[in-house]
Amino acid sequence: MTALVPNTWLSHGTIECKNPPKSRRFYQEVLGLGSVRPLPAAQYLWNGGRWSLVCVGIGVDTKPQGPENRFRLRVDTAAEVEAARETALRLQSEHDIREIGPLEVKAGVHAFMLRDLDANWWEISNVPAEHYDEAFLRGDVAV
Amino acid sequence: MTTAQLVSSAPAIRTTSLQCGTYLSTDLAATRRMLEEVLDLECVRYAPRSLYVRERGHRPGEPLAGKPYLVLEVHEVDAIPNPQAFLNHWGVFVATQSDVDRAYATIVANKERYGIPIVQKPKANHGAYSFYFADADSNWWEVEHRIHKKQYESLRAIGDVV
Repeated sequence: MTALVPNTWLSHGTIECKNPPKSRRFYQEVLGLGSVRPLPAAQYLWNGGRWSLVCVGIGVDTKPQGPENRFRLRVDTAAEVEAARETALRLQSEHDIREIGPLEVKAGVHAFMLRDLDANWWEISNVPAEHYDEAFLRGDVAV
Repeated sequence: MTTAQLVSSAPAIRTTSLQCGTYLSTDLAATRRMLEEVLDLECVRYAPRSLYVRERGHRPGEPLAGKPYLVLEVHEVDAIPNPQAFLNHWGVFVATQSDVDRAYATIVANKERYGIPIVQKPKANHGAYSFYFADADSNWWEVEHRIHKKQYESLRAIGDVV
């Protein structure tokens, strides 16, 4: 069956921020994202691949997100996840990080979540790069 | 808005990829049907109430094999605790402006079948031509085409304009 809108690719997701330059400092200097600001009210973020995260500056407080709507960033090792959490705690005040969750370990994957200055949620984990390839190759689990 | 100068080029956390975005559905089967049959995305149910989603072409032997891709992780819940809005959307790219118009027409024609309550008309904006629609769980999607110099990787190369 041919899809109604064939041959698409995922190009972007979108988040809100109040103050683009201030949030950009956090994305770039803390989270390690690439960023470019082609418009006064928008900056585009990336970290690997052609996919971008569009951050729209709205000039007022953002609509708070829940952790169920978050973005996952990868670091290479479990030790780096733990170090990243320590770093986030150290920089929490400087970058107005609202919340930093506990370190969690599931099936060998270390992870923690943080809620940034605009109430957007980020997860930092060491999910292996091949994890998703393997999941797609395995196919659906039985339900 | 106040300004804030970037003071460091070396990030405090050395992340290696933006791997995944997550969102919720109250009907995983319906969500999957829309993602596969409307937007042509690849889905796998990796847990009873969870999907991974990616663009097609990354399987071994396919054109994009080995290249990085974004994964969307969709979890099924009984109710959406935090409904999403227009500015929290996911975007898919199509090859031409005509493809955007065709996508709009076909989604409008099939919106009841796929439980799509809102479809906005296409419009041009900042070098993009696109339209938005929302699914039954308030997740918003944009179908877009961009002229070459306004495509995301081109903008990275151009650098800041403001």
